[in-house]
Amino acid sequence: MGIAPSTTATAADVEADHRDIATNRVIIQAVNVSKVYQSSDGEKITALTSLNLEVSENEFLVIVGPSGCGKSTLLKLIVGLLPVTDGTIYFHGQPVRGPRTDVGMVFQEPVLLPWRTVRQNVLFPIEILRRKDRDYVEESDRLLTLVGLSGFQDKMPYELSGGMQQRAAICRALIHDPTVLIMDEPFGALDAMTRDEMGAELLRIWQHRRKTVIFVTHSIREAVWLADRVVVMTARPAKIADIIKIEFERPRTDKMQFLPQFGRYVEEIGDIVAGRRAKGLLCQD
Amino acid sequence: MPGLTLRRAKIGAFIQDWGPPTLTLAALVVAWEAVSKIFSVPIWLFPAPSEIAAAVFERGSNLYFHFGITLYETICGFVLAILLGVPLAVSVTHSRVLSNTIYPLILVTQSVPKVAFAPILLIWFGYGDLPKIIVAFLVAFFPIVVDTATGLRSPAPQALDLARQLSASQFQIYTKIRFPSALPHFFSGLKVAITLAVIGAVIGEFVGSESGLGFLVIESTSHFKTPLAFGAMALLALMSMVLFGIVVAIERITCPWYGRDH
Repeated sequence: MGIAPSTTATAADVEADHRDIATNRVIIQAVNVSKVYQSSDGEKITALTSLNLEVSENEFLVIVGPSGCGKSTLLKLIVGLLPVTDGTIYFHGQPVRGPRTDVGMVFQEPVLLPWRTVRQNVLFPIEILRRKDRDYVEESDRLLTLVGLSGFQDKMPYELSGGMQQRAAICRALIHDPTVLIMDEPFGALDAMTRDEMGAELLRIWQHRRKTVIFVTHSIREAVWLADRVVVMTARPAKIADIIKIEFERPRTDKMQFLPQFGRYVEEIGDIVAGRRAKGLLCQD
Repeated sequence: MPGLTLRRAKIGAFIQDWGPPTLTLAALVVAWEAVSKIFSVPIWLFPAPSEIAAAVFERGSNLYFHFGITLYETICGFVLAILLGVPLAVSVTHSRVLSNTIYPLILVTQSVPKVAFAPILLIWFGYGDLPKIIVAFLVAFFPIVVDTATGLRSPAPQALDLARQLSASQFQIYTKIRFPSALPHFFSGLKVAITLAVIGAVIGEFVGSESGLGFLVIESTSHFKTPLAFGAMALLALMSMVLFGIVVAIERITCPWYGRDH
């Protein structure tokens, strides 16, 4: 598993890690990225300033931070849905200049198209990409079986519960075999029990289909449980306060949540989010 | 037997759905008939249902002719409104400049009272079907444009992001996301538009015509043939309801999913 050393990426680090791109270990690299929005009254709003981050191949990276701290903006910049104002984002060593089709996206809401069956929804990216290189119907069935939705292929979205819809949305994000899976608070709209279940499910799928995952959440426990590294962001203008490496082995089990070390991680990250620990900030500035 | 119970349940639901409105309508007709007979209301003032029915049957096939004319004008205006309304809704959705250019114009046409405009159409296009079709079109057009435009803007931003992420073309975004999302709104517009189109055709006929149910109302009232006027009105109501029903039926077939997931 190629996991980069857990450091808050400074410009110097980024420079040094260019070697890693050559060895194909670092898959995404943000160098001094800034994003400035122009609001409707002409005022300039800084969403992100000089952000540096790198994500390794097959890494499970979780981003936590207060609402409106620019997490979603960062995701949109990474996948090329928004242009950066300053700096560069590299994807496989190439600057991102538009939407990356080798990305799968899962949002807080399932956003299944209500007039399509579950299978047709899963196959949506294939239709858009006009891919015909293999039998994707079979692949969609395999994915749906993997998330426990076999037998629901021909159901309509409204016949499924919220958790089941979100599973189908995960299948849709995986159908075109993207290199990176972007998940923006994917379990935020689910109840606590379904949420835990989905976390376990996601880890299981991830063990089967290794991908680089960038996962945004508000839940620190969820972050610690899922992540290889947790990126803690501060509010506007968003900066990376710290990056915490989570040293639990894989596959993760439910029991790990009761380990003392788990509590220490949660506490540490909670402190950083609340601004009680400034070491990351000192490190970066 | 479960099949039998199911059928019985279905019949039960049918009676529950259709029984009360049918009975209410029937009771009203009976009461109307009774009141006009008991108080001997003059036929030219307020005819009883039986007198209206008699007048309708007396006219016979000639009524169908007028019915057909009004129906023809209504449907032509309605179809024209769809054919022009949908592309306009697309252009309004597609570009802010077009939206800013077209919307005021649409509002102006909508703010001009159609009744006032109809006589001018008569001067321009004569006594034929065309002015009626245009009036029907003008009144049906607005709800179709407004509702379709709303529908085209209705997809969740994430659904559009998803498509854009996959480098979808504008054509794909419209055919695979925007149009299907817009269908329920489009049909809400159609439901309003179809009833308005009937009214539009009748307004056109009022202003100047030689045929149609609107013409029949004008002609029969001028001769105090009130039962026939009532008959024509009943047929207009029937036409409106049947057309409305057809639109609803097509809506149910085209978007059965709507309203199920919200």
